[in-house]
Amino acid sequence: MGLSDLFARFYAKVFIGIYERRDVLQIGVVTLGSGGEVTQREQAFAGGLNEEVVAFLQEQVALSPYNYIAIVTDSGECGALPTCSLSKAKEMAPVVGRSKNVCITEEWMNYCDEETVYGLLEHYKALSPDALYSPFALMHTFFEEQMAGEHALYLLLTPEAMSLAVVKERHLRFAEQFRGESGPIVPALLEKIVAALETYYGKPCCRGEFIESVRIVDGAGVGALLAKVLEETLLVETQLHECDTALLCAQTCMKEHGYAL
Amino acid sequence: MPYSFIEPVSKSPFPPAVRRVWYGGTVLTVFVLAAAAFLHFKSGEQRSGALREAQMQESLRVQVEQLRSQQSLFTHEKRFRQQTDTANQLVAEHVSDLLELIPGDATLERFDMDASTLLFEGECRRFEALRTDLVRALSGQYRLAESVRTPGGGKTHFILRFAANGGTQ
Repeated sequence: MGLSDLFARFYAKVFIGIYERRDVLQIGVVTLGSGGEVTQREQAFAGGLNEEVVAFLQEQVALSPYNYIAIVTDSGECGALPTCSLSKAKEMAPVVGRSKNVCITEEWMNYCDEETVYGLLEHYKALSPDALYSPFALMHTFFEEQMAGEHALYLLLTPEAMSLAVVKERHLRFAEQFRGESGPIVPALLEKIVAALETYYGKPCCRGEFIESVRIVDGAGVGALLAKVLEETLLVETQLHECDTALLCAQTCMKEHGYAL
Repeated sequence: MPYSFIEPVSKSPFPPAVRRVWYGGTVLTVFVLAAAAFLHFKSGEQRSGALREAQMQESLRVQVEQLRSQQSLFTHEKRFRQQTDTANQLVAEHVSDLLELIPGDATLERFDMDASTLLFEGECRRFEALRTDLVRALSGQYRLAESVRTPGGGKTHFILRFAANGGTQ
């Protein structure tokens, strides 16, 4: 244990998640007190990264020297692959060759195009962000326990995109990231999900193995309708969880630093 | 579990200026400790080197002493051997002279000699002449201590014992 870890015991920890869509900047804050108490709040600001937002963030950051600012991007240039081998990953998605990537659970690679990563770091330079996540990191944080079980389809809906993953017994089988110009419209999402599943079922690894359930974490507000449509279409049990994307980003940051929610 | 595409910055409750002083102090302390340790060990090496040399010199001195002692003992033994050899040679010459005193008609059966006694035993035809010759020849050094004659046949068996002057009979 380092000296810094020792000091950290006596201070609160502040995890700040930021998600920005076209006209709104969402901020989620999870505060972990030195006594272990957890408080969460989320706030949306119109107009992007302006003085009001900076003032709010400064207020949060001032709560503790152990503060962490995390950004989540749902860019279409980010994704996940069921391998941690860089050569295999490049075969599956050539964009990996010019991407930042991070491997989780030793067989699940999250990647994001370098241009996107450096663009975001430049955009948030004033905040000195501590972490940058893809939606699949948030999905893994939220569903990690459930992923140990049945063969299921996991969906993360953000206001501007949808992340889709098929996982069986912790093994990522298939993943896709969709981003629509017009935001999450249920028929369009359904169409993409069905197409993705057809692709998945057509893969040599997965023929004859059908998903047993669908789990949705909804940060876009369309999850209820989508869940109903999916149940009718796929004829499988669907579970819906609503969550603020920025708050989930903050929770992911908290988990990454070894703190349980 | 790592999720982020960027490396997190280490957090600290101290402002950057304090951290810089802290890190600088740590680096300086480590440097001073390392230098002190280096000098300490170097000094220790010198000390142990001098000690080793002193031990070596002491060992050499002891070896030289042992060699000298052995040489002295050897010289002494050599001298003693030379003296013994000289004495033995003198005795042998003396014995040879003594035996020449025995006349040609006599037969010497036994002759003993030590530091205080001379013994002649044998047979002769003229005992008196033999005894007189021996007493005369040995006078000054020996005196007749025992004279035994046993006549038999044409010859006389004799035993003549002489004692060194000043010695015990």
